[in-house]
Amino acid sequence: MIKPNGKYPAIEWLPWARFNLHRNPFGELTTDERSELAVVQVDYLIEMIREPKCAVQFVGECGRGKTTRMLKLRSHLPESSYTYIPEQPPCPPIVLGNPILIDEAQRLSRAARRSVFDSGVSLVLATHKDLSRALRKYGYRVHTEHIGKGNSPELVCQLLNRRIEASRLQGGSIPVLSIADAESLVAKYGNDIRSMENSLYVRFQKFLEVEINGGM
Amino acid sequence: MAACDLSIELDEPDRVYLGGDKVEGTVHVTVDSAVKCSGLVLSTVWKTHGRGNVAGDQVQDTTVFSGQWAGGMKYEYRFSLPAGDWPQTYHGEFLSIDHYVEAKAKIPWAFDPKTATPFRVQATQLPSGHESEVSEHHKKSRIPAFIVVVLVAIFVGPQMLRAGWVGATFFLLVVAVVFGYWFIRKFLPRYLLGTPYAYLDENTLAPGGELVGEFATTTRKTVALNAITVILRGTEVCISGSGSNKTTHRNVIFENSQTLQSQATLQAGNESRCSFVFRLPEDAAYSISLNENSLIWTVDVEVDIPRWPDWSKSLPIFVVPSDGQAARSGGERLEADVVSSANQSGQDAQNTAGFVGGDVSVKSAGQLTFAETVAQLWAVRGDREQVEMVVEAVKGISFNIEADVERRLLYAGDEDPHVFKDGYAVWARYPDPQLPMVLYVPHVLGDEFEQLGKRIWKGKGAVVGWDSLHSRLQIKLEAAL
Repeated sequence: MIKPNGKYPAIEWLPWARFNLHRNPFGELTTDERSELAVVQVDYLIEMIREPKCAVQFVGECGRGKTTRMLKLRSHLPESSYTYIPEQPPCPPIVLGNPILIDEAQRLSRAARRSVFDSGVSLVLATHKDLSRALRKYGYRVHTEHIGKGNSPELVCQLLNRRIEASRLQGGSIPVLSIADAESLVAKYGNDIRSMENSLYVRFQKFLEVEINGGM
Repeated sequence: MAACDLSIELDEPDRVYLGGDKVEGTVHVTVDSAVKCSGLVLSTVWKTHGRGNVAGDQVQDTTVFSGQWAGGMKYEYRFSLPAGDWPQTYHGEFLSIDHYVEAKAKIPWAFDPKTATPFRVQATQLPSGHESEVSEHHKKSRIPAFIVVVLVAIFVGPQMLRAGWVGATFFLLVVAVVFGYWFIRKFLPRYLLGTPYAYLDENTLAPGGELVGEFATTTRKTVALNAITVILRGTEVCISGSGSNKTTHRNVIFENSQTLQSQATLQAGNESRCSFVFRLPEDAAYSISLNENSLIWTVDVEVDIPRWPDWSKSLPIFVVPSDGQAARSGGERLEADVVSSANQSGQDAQNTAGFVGGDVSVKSAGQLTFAETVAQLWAVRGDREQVEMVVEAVKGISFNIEADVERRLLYAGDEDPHVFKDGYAVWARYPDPQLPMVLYVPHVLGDEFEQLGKRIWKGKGAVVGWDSLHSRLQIKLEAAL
């Protein structure tokens, strides 16, 4: 079993303390935490959307990292606004920002889409459906990224270990996910990060019930 | 490498704190290179973690240092902060709740280093508003089926009928399925059992308490039953994601089943009664409803009828700290007072309102300012029911408003009836406390708002509602005469 560094007092009453963690690392995170822990490059996108009438769209299936990219961009762009469009109408208010970030943009109502696309403000859209045609009609230059294809075992290993590190209780050793573990996750779940996290959550809770010596 | 590292050492890391107890300790700062800190902020907070979307709140914060740290040095600062009184520390399978002391060093133009250390909290009393949150959760579980039926009937139905015979057939099929479900699950069991009902003597208990209830029915004809079963259940219910990504996770943490009768025969015309008694575990977790993280307790009564649809009923119960039992029955009385006060105040003259306090107590009516309204809303902002009650009480009243404008809305929403023709809406905050607001700006004030910049806007406006999605007070502005 991994023990916390000896100079720190053990917190016996906390179940995850035996792994030197303060929670299950694979549970839900706040939006700020998701943004902090994202392993994505956004600098080139920020350069791109500084130009007027530029639209960046992230296209991909659920659980691949579209929203994580949006949240990362939002944390770097204090003037931006972020709106999530729910599945059921009505379409919520959309705050003016620079740029405007819209999650699940394929669900924008016709009136909302017209207001947004007509604004001329740079846009970042997370969508399941390619909206480039409509955007070009309103004079936007469109950059499309298909999300999920780059979720290699190395990336998966890096981002899951960041989640473990973010749940660290105190100094000392914490469990580490190996590249072999990441490869087996990718073999099982493909590029679906959310399914990997869900599976690891359950496995980690089981570790608490049955103590296992060694790493994860 | 970070310019500074933080760590927190509690004086009593294994102590169980009660609400309001002082959590004391030392925050250690190790500085690699000289750095300016604009504030070393210590706070007590609680957070959920696990499978549900994170809920949390801050109890109190304090700034223990601001200034210059020299490179290669170690610093120590003592702190003493109050522990929160709710929710209690809880560690489950899908839902966990922990209280923390958090430390954050605000470093200009750099990421702010931070750390947190958990401590244990035991709740000794029920905070105001909690029981309504939990009962709201139980109510919510019945809403979806109702919504589906109404939506189909109102929106989908006419469209399908317009689509010709294919649409009409499909619509009738949907109606038949809904009716069939009701007929099989609701009508048939009642038809056989007559007027079955189940009730509990008391639905609010402390851990270790005795739960007494009864199932009774008078059947129209003699009925043979396989069994009458009662199950006491504690369940974690967590919701993750939102919209199409929303997933509800359920985990039963406690289950105790009693068979009241098996292979029994209920005689026609005779009232049959079966009483049951459960004892809650001494360590039963309290009922909790924290946004999308709940811990609910129910008593489920099931009547297994051979070759016939079964009858079932779920009765919610509330597990509360022992002090909370009395508080809850008292709370119901106070709630009635609040409603009465709010209704009264709604009828009051302009600028005057009876008011409800954050502690569910009633304040005396009088001349009400916008600052007082904001203060009241701020005090109850965690309790949606009370917020809506306060807003209802002041709806239509015109105030002198002060607002720090944040952003203009590009699109005000599909169904927002408050937007002026040719006007627009802005998001703003009251200066202190920073209560979020939506201001509906008439066309004539457009230029004034465009030129406002970062200054505080002052003018008149009437409260028109509460945006529960974004937790904002809705105010319709009035053009100056």
